[in-house]
Formats: sequence, structure tokens, C-alpha cells
Amino acid sequence: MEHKIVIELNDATVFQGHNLILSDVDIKIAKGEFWYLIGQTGSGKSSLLKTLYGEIALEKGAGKIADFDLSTLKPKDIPFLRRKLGIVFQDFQLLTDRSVYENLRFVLKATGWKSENDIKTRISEVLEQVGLATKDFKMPHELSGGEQQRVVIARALLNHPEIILADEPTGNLDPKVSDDIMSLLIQISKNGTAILMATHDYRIIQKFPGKILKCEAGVVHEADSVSHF
Amino acid sequence: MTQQEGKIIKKRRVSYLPSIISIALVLFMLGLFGIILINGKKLSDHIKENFQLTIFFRDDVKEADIKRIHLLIESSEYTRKASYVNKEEAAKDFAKELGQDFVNFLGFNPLLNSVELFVKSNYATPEKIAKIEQEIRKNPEVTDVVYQKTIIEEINENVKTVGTILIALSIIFLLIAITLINNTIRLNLYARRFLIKSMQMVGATHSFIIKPFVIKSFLHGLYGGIIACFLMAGLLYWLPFWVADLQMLYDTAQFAILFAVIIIAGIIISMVSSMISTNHYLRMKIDDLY
Repeated sequence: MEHKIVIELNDATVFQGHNLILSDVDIKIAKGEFWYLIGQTGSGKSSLLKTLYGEIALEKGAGKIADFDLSTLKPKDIPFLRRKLGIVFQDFQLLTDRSVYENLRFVLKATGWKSENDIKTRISEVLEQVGLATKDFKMPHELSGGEQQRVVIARALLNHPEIILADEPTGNLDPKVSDDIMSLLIQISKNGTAILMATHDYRIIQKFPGKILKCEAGVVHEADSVSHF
Repeated sequence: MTQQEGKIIKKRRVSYLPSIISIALVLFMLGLFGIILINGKKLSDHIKENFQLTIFFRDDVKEADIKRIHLLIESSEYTRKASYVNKEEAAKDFAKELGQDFVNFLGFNPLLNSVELFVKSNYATPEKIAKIEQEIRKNPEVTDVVYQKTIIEEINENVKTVGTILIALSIIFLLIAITLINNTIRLNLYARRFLIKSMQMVGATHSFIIKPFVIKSFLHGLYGGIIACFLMAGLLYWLPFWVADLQMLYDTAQFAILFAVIIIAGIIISMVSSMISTNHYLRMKIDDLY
């Protein structure tokens, strides 16, 4: 049986403000797949991801992500779309004013979790999964870059997302730590979560092969290997 | 709670203190102005209520008739105080002032029986005084009504000018207060703008994000207002030691209302500011935040 399609763009156009960034974008990503999104800086990788998580509106073409229709997405629907996604950023975007536990608790509270017991259990589960079981009381600034990114991934996993969108998650990390984060993401995708990860780190793609989408000259196409970089 | 957690919470509380103090000081300024406004009104009432009219009676009028008219004036709605001064008393007072027994010297008392009238402050305008004068003069027993016309005109003119200035100033002060508190809160939220964006990224709704910020600014407004009230209460307590006769202008009920107004103003201004600012950052695109 073919896996369920969780991201689908047909003839989509991506704008950043009034600037056309990408046109005729056709993407189809199924559950559990791991895709790289490559391209030079400014080629539209981030804009494409922003369109997928509702930060940029899809003005032309059709798009569907986690059962949300991007072309008819209203501002008030955006929070509910993001609950079905896990988003991982290069600059982490943790809530810097509170501990790791409170960061994760905020997400669960914001997404309607009521029971403090359930919250505690779920937080332990995801921290265990990313290997940070003992660091829940730490403030983000007390963690290393790799640890912060693990917290972000733990945060992305909280609500069992179908999709994780990662915008250069290893961009601020050294090679060893990057490899650890990649192993973690690959493991997550094997458990059934689709991952679309923007990067321009050749080394990673060679070491952890996956399907590749390339942004180039205003279009997105599937590439066979890194040699097309 | 671990020790570290305790330390963190402590640190976070301290970081809000400057903004609470800013709010408190602005509200204190607003409160001071309120005190001036309340006392200015009382001061003008005080001056107006000490404005005196003297009603003289013809020498041949019987004391019983004077007393009847006195009673009539006393029970009029414009009267604050009216006292009957018979001419013997008046002569005694005048002799004391003069330092000479002029009645003996002249062989008769040239003074007239009179009633001293003080009107209520809201009747102390040139027009109303003139009307009262006319009405009193209708009594055939009254020979003259004497008061300093220019003074009552001057008092009213000055009160009007000062009143206009005070109203203009109070609008300016209120605008200053709103601007300063709004800026304090906006700075607070500006520092947290990426936090607000991050909260949006994980699927929190606008209302869920705004709520804690609004609750926090409610508390900041409340704390600021309470601190301002303590400062004002301290000032009101110490002021009479420096300025004599100020105590008599004090009106506890009016000060209580002022304190309540200051606290409520603090709460409303800071809540509305934080609602507007948070909404502003919620609606901004992430690239515009840098």
C-alpha cells in the first residue's frame, strides 16, 4: 500500500512580499519520507518552507499539507496547521525566558493539554527520545548548541506530527554534533514522520542519503545526487 | 523546585522591577496633579466662601424686624453664613480698631445695625451676587448693601483662568502618562518579540499568547498604582508639616477616589498598551522583526 501523501504542491508560486521567488513548484512527499531541500542561499528554500507552515500565503497554485489547504488557509487556521507540523529552525527559537521543561510545557498547554500528569509524562518521553532526559530544568542559554537543537526537535515531536519541516537545523552546529542531530532526524523519519530539511551542507547529504529537491533559478526540481549541486 | 529554578525565577522578577517603577512614577506624577486639582478647587471655594457682603439697616428699624430679615437671609439657599451685628457691638469693635472711643467723642453712635453675609461658593459670581444684592435691597428696612465688586470679579476671573490652565495641563499630563507607560510596556514587549514569534511557530493561538502578557501588565499596572498611592499618601502626610493651614483643605473621601482612579488608570493604560503591542508583534512577519 502506498504511503499517505502529507505534503503536496501543484503548480505553486512562492512570493516573498511582492518578489516572485519560485514558480511552477510541484512537490509530493509521503509519510515517513526524508527529503533534503537544497540550493544556494537566497534560492528560496526558506521561503518555500515558510509557505508550507503558513508564514507566507500561497497566492497561486494548489497546496495541501497535513490535510490543510494552503490556498484557502485563513490566519486563524495557522495555529492549528502548525500543531500538525514540527518546525525546526537554524536559530532554535526556544523561549529563552524559561526552562527546557517550561518550553515544552508551553507547547502542550498551547495545544490544549490539560492534565499536568499527562504533560509531565509526554515531556519525559520526548526528552528521552532526544537524549536529554536529565536536562529538563536547564535554561536554554545553559545548553550547548547541539543540546538546544535537541530540545527544538523534542518540542517538534510533542504532538506526534506527521511532518517535520527543518530549516538548516545543523547550520549552527559543528560536524560531530550535526551528525548526532541527523541520526536523530533519520530515526524520527523511520518512525513514520515525513521530514523536509533545507540545508546546504554537502557532507551531511553524502553521509545520510535521502531524496533531494533543488531550488535553482526560480524553480524546484528533483535531483539525483549532490553532484548536481 | 531546584535551587537553580529558584534563582532563575528571582532573576526574572527583578527584570520587571524597572518597568513597575517607571509606571509607579508616572502615576505618581498624575496623582500629584490630581491632588493639585482637588486642592485648587477647594482653595478657590475657600476664597469664594470668605467673600463678604454687609447689609446695613436704617437706623429707625426695630431690632425685631432686623432679626426677621436676618432669619430670612439665613434660610436662603445662597447663604453659607449670616450673622447679625448690632451697632453697639460694631462700635465696640471699631473703637478697638481705632484705639479711640469715638462714640463718646462724637456724642452718638454713627454706625448702623448690619448683617454680615457669606454666600456659598457657587453663588460667588458677579452676576449672582448682584442678583442677591437686588433681592435684599427690596426690603425697605435695608439702606445699603456693601461689597467689593472688583474683588469678586477678580476672583472669578482668576479662578476661570487657573481652571482653564489646569484642565489643559491635566490633558497634557494624562497624555504624557499614557505615552510613557505605553513606551515602557512596548520596550518590554519589544525585548520579547522573538519570543512571541516562537510561540506562534509552535501553534499557539493569538489569545493564548496574549493572555499571560495582559495578565502581567495588569499586575504591573496594579503594583505601579499601589506604589504611586503610597508615595502620594506619604506626601500628603508630610506636606502639612511644611505648609501651614494645608490640613484644612484635606478631604479624605476625595483622596480615596483619587487613589482608586490612579490605580485603575495604571491598570487600564498598561493592559491596553500590552494588548496593542502584543497584537502588533503577532501580526508582523518574522523578517520584519530584525
